Amino acid sequence: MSLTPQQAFKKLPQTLQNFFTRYPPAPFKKYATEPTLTSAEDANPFLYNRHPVTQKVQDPIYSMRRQSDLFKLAYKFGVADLLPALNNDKKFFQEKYDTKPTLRGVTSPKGHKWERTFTKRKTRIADALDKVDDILIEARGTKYKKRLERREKEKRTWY
Amino acid sequence: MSSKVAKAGRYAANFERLGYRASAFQNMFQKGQLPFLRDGREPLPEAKQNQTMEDWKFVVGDRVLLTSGPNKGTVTSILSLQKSNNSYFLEHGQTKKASIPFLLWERQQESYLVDYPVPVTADSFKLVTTIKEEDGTERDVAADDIVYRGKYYDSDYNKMLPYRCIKNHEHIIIPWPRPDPITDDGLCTPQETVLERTFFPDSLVSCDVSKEAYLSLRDPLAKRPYKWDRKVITKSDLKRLTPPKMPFSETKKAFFKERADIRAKQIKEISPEVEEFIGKKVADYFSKIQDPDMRYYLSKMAGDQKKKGKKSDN
Repeated sequence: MSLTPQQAFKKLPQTLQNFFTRYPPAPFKKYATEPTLTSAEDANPFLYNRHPVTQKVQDPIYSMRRQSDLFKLAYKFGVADLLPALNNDKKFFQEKYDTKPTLRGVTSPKGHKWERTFTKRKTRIADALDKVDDILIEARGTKYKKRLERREKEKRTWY
Repeated sequence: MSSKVAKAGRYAANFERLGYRASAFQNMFQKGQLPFLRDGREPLPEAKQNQTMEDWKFVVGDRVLLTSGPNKGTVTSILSLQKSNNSYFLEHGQTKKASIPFLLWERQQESYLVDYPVPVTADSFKLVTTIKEEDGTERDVAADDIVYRGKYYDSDYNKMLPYRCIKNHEHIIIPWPRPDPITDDGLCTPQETVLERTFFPDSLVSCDVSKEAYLSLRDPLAKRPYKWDRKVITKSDLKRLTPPKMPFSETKKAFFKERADIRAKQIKEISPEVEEFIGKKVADYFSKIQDPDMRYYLSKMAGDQKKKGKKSDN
């Protein structure tokens, strides 16, 4: 059974009917996507707007909770896209997860401190081991140098 | 005396609460009294004081025969009762000379010295009554002691009283003396018309009594109101309770105007074009739904459905 538009409109929950009565959707009225003055014609009821005289920021007419309630209800009745832009470009349901930006920690995790300093420490040790003979020669004198040279010369090989 | 002090309220000392220190305070109290009023007897505790006519046995107006003291043998009557000591003031009883300060003189008093009656206890006199002999002559008899037998309603006292009989001669009933007749005040309702009904309400709902008179009508079950619980706001009260009206500032006026403008701008009724636009979209969406559970859910959430449900609940 197909519904007439009037019948279908009455199928909407009362909260949505009231909202669309007060704030007609896009082709009939346009709403700002950025905060404007509260007196502006296109003032968005979901955004924080500034009073023209006092210059003070006023809370949105629909609080964050009521915005989200309205959106979820409208989504179930297929009219979510008729609502004005939500505060902070808020997303719901699967879209919320799909549009989520990949966090830096996911792509390049920080790691533990030992992990972060591992290669640096290893190279430092290797460098120090390379220099160890020179240091010992400096400390113990030429006699030790000669001993090292003799050992090198007398080193047994398989050939 | 102590009962009087106790009944005097929170501004007077209650001697019974003082315990062993009470006698010191009593002495102080006695010293403060006029000398002839100091009888040297301590007042009885309240539990031992006579309360009812049955307790007293002899009441004001009774004829009595003195059995002790200088006036022994005379027949006189009881003038008044001294409650603090369960004693009686007699008309021709023993008196003592008392000097009264000028400030306390009675109207016809001519001397500082007066005869002040000494209160006597019940064991210093006997109740006298008149009995009729068989030959018609009358004679007075004094009762050694009296006993109570049976009860009757006494219309003068307006209560049940026992018959006073002479002990061991219980056929002789000594009637209670008649009290002084009560004279009606000018504002009293006469006894004949007190039960006469003068007010007939026309309706149970509306009241004939004017609204202004409501506060003057007393609730018969209500206790006497505390004097500060006034239910009437007087003119001066009203003046004090009403704050002065501050004139609204320009800012406030601008705020009111802005709020009124916002209200005036608000769309209260949906236009048919908007309704059709949204309705089409909703109808389209409804037709595409295949899931029966979702269809059921949306039908339950629908605005018209909910209204029906609410009505049926009521």
